[in-house]
Amino acid sequence: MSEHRKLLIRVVALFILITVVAGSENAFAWGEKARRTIAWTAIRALPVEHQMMLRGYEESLLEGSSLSLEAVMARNDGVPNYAAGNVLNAVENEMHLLQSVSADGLSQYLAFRMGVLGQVVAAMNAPFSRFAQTEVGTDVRARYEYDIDLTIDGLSYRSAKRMPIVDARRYLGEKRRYISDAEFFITSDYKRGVGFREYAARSVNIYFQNAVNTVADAWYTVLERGTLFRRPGAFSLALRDYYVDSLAFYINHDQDEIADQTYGVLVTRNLLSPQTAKRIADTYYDAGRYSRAVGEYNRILDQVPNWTEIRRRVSNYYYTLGVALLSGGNLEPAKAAFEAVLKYEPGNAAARTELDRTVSLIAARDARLKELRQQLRIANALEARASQESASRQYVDARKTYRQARQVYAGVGDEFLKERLEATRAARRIESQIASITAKIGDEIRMLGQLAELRLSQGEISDTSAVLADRVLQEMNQAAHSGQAASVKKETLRGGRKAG
Amino acid sequence: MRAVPKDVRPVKSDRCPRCGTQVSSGDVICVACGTNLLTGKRVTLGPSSATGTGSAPTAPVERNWRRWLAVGGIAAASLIVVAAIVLALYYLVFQDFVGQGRRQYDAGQYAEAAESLQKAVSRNQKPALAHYYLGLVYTAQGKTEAATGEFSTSVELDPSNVTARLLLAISYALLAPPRYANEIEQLEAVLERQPGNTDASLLLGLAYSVTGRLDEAVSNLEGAVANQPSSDAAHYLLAVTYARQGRYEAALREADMALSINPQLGDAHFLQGLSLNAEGNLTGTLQAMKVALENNTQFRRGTRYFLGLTLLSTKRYDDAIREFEYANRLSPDDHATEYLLGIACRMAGRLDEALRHLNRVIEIDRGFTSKAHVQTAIVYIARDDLQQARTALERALEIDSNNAEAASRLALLYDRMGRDLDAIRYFKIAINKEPDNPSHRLALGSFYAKRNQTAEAIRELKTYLRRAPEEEDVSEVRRVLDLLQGSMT
Repeated sequence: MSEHRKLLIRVVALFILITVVAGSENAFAWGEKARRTIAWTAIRALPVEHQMMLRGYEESLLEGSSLSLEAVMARNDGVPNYAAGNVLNAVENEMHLLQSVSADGLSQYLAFRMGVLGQVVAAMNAPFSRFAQTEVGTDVRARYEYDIDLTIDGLSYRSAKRMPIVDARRYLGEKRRYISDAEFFITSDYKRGVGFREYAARSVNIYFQNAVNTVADAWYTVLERGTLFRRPGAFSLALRDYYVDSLAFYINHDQDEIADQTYGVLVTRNLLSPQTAKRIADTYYDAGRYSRAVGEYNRILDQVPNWTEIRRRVSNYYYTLGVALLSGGNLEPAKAAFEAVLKYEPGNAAARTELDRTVSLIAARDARLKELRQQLRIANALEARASQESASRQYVDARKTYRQARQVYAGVGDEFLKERLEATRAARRIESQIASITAKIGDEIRMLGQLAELRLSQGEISDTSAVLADRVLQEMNQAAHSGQAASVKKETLRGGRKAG
Repeated sequence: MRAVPKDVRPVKSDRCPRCGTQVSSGDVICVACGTNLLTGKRVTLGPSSATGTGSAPTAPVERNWRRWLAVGGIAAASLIVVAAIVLALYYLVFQDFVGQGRRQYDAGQYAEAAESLQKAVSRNQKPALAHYYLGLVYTAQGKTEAATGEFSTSVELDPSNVTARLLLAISYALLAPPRYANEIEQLEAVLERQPGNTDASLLLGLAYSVTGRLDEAVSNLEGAVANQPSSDAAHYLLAVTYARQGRYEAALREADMALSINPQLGDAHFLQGLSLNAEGNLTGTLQAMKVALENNTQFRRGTRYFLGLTLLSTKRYDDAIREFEYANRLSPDDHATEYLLGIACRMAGRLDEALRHLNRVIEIDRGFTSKAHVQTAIVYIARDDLQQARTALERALEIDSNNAEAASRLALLYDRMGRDLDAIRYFKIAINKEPDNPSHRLALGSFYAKRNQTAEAIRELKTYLRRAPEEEDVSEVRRVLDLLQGSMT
């Protein structure tokens, strides 16, 4: 292979690597898939009673395990600051804390923190970890993590006896003894172009086994309690932070009830200083729970009335709220919001201006509302009149009156919801009435047809009566005639002789 | 009388000088005594000579008495013959058969009376009287036609015999078929001679009425009623004639008068019911008809008709059917009853029965056939069998092209079938046939209204209202008209 060709391949490989690294920001020694696999396997590596304890908390545990590297490293409000100082100390303190909290029983947040802890200790036992403190290029690390995720499904775990960690620093230090050598060999392989195929491939299962065991041991130690060597430190602060973070966790997970319980724990344990309270209020605020946040802020202001930052924050909140309400046409709430701004910041000129504007808008609106209600009264009266006309079968008049009323109702805009709804309902009602009247007109017309048929039928009876009357009268006439003739004949015959 | 010889002068006296027998002037010998009137001597008879000129031989004495005996015998026989002849002549010429016949008629011996009177007629004995009495005899025998002839001849022979004229008129009236024109002629002649003859006046009024000359009838009957105000018959007969004129109110008044004189006059009750029915008083009709039946009106079938029709009008269909069935029992082959039963059953929704009765009317095929087809069509329409209905209505029009109801109903049927052009055609036929019947206008108006041809509908309905301003449905029609007019504005 010529030198030019080798150079070209290296350039292409470098390009691919950069692309992959750019797409794997979550890299944390183990890839995302590997991290979840290690966590699942570690749960299975725990004793059965611990597995039973963790049932129902696996999701939270995995959530912690899956937290991105940046999230773990960047946050200092939900997890210990692994990025600052000695990570071994951080791990040890965290284990102490979690061991202590677990005495109150497992919770979702505890499981989450155990997941984060597991992820950190797993990373510490892998080559190219951020915690390995070795000087390797990010390109090799990224390529290695990528390759591990490709091979993770083929790895196996051999069950080992759980060892409670007594001295976390020593335990983790021993586990990490050969990491730098491994990183050297792997780096060499990647630089030589061999990549994952040789040393990395042969050693990956060992590191996986090691990571699972370390994680399982760490969790085992937390759940077993009492075995860890305890070093002196500001444990109460850590505990307070734990509960505050726990509260934030639950708020962010929309579990307000548990958040409230946690709040109660802070109060009960007398851990709720104004600063802590502000953190909690901020958490609520950031989570969009403004009313609760404002409540918390007010409670703090009761204790520290001149806390300017809080006052400004609350007034800002009310100002924003007022503007939003105003733009939505909610004048009374906007007015109240602006008044609240002035309560917290009496000199807020913008709020004063907005308040004045809102008051004048309310006055104008009330005038319009008054006029509209007058129109609605007229429409109601028209509707009532139409109803009476309909009842007295003056359908055409009724339909005209209903149409007038409908026109008035149609003129009601969207500004006043209640009136708009009333008008919409009335318009719908009128439509129905007009349809009913139209149907009645149709009925009347149909009735006309029936009337015509009835008249024809009545004609049958009267015609038949007339025909029969004529016939009978003729019969009567003839009978009378012949009867009279017979009678006169009789009389005449009697006197006929005289005539002769 | 023998010839007188030249030398003999005939006797101048008119009597025989010997026996005084009357002789004629110019006679020579008295035929009674044989005296020669010229000589005054009696003629003797001797044997004649051969020439007839010599003197006759003188007979011996004993021969003379034989001769006298023979002459006497001959004379006696001659006398007997003459007497017989005289008697026969008397019998034949001078016997009074008219009187004999009259006596026999009075004794109720009509056959003998007829024989005597026929003899009188044949002998031309008092012919006018003989014919008159013969007419009476025939009348008594129920031989109206023969009687008519006799009275007619009698009247011809003696135009002044008013009784004969009256009886002649009655005979014309009682003929089968009656000869009303002749009757009227005779009655008018009677009244010309005897203007106050109530019997003739009543009869003439009735004859006029029967022949449809109602105004003249009323005039005569009113005269009769004026002459005999207490005659229930006169009032009743006038009431009948008023009813025939369609003057039901006057008919009711006269019927009331008749009933005030004779409350049991069943026929007057019937007439009252008939008049009340014509005036639309249904309750009164029902009551009057029932009273008529209680008082044994002779028009029982008619009474049942009108009871049924009145019940039909009040929608008491089953009762109506019962009444028509009574009528049907009184006259099983009466097509009118079958027709009424057909209508009543149809209105009662008893369609099969209706069809059965109507088909019988069609089978009988008298008078009501076209109407029966119309009723049959209505039954078919009720059964939604429009094709059969159409066929029946077309048949009704074939039988009676003037049956406007059939045309109107056919139009309504085509309207229902959506055949607008045919519907309009038949509506117009119905209107042409009965331009004064507003029902057709109403039906056509309804048709146009349904088709949203508002202007045409308004025109027809206005015509309807003009032609039927008194109808019960006027307010409803007016309301629809207002609706249509309103919808056009």
